[in-house]
Amino acid sequence: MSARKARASMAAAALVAIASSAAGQSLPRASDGKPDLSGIWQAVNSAAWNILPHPAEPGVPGGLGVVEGNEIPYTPAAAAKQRDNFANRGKLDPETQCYLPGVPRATYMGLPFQIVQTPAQMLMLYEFDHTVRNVFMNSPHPTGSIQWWMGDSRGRWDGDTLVVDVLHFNDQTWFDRAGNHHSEALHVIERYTLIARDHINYEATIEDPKIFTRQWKMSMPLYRRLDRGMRLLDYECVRFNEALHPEPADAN
Amino acid sequence: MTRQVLRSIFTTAAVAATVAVAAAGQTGSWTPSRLADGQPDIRGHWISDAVGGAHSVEDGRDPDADVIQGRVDEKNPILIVDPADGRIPYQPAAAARRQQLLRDIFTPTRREHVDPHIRALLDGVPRNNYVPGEMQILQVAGAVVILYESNHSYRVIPLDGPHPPAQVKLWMGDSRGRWEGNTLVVDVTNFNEDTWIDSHGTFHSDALHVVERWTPAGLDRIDYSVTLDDPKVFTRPWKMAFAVNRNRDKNYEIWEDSRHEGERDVDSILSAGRKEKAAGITGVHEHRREGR
Repeated sequence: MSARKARASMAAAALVAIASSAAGQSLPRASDGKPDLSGIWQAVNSAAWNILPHPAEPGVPGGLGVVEGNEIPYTPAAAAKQRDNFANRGKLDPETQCYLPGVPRATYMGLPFQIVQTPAQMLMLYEFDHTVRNVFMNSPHPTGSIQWWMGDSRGRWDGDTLVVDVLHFNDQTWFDRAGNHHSEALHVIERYTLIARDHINYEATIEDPKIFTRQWKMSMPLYRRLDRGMRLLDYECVRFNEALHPEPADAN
Repeated sequence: MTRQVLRSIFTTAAVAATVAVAAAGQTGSWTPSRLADGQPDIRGHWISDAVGGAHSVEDGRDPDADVIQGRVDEKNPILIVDPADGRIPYQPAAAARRQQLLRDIFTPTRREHVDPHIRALLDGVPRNNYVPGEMQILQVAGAVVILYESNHSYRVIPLDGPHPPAQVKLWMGDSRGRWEGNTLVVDVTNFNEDTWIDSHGTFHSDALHVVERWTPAGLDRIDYSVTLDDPKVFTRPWKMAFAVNRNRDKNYEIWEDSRHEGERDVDSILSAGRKEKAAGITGVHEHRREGR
């Protein structure tokens, strides 16, 4: 435990170092003066497997966790459901069905995503399943009973931070491969803060009164992909799944 | 679902109005305004004239489906403008494979007999430009971005840089754009061989090379043409052309079209196809456009 704390504080120190190195460096800005978040970004951590701290297993890198306080405040029933999800994750994880991954899971699946920035609208384009989020700026959520896999994203600038309010989810997506889950009452508030030319500090505040006893928060740095010729490629999970499930025996 | 249908009807009405205005007001060439980085401004929400004609790029919509769906009076535009006979110039072996696909489509028994569009796979280029659903064009410094309503697909088209190495295969290909005057010319390579150009099994290989030309012809119209070349499949390049019209609903927002998540058609299509084939029913899916 003390080793983990030490690692966590080292990570925090690294983040502070990045932030202070940015102080002397001017951040890229768009023509409207807002920080320019355009580019291809990727989280470099093991939150895809488990957003909580976890040891390594075969094929699974260990992780410090990305949840503040290292605890998700489930109600007792929701905690039991997470344990069941975890036990049956090979079958129940929506990722295995190639379903749209939801928010914030899309951010840290181990694949890059691209931000396209304009004053009125931001696009978040993900490699996984060619997932798209259309972030409308300074605009209200549509009203009514709407359930979307990726929710409805509405953005605004809070100083130099892009704040995206996400509502209208379904209850089908998970936060990770460890069965951490939510209901259709999920409300996510994301904060994207450019802390250096090639680093974004990403935070997601999670609310869901049906599942959690209080709101909670995850955070992680996002790194700009600087690879030569970098562009988003594709990960057409649907086609890969077809290949995993052979034709039924009566074919031909 | 009802909401989507309603939105489509409104869109169709808005587009019809747009076409009428465009036809009345257009003479000669149009000079679009310029963005800060010098790009001609083609931003906005657009819907192709060819939607509905895309069941088959050679033969148009399926007349039986038109009767069932009450679409008898809608436009069914000719897409292929070269060759003049409107037929795709297949090499002999490719023509044979295509004919077999038309038999497979009649009684499908395996997944690869089912249109990739129905299987919720990406449509590729140029098909994404004429499947039902609108598209939004955004322009940022150094790139044009197209967001498609259908199956939440997207293209980022850099205005510089080389295509990736040939070993990289992509469902939507790799698009590189350049402006020739007011025309956006997009060169698309690095395709895989898994997409169809329409639901009639119009296939291509990974050697497909697509060149699109997007020419603004008025505030509310883009003249679109596309040349397809594939030395493994076609005897020569061939060309399609159609208009793309502005959706003038200023409040339009592209919302989630989660295609794969609700997909239940493929199993029933295969089940029906297998039963028919077992009962000795075979045939060729075909319907020729009148006068062609």
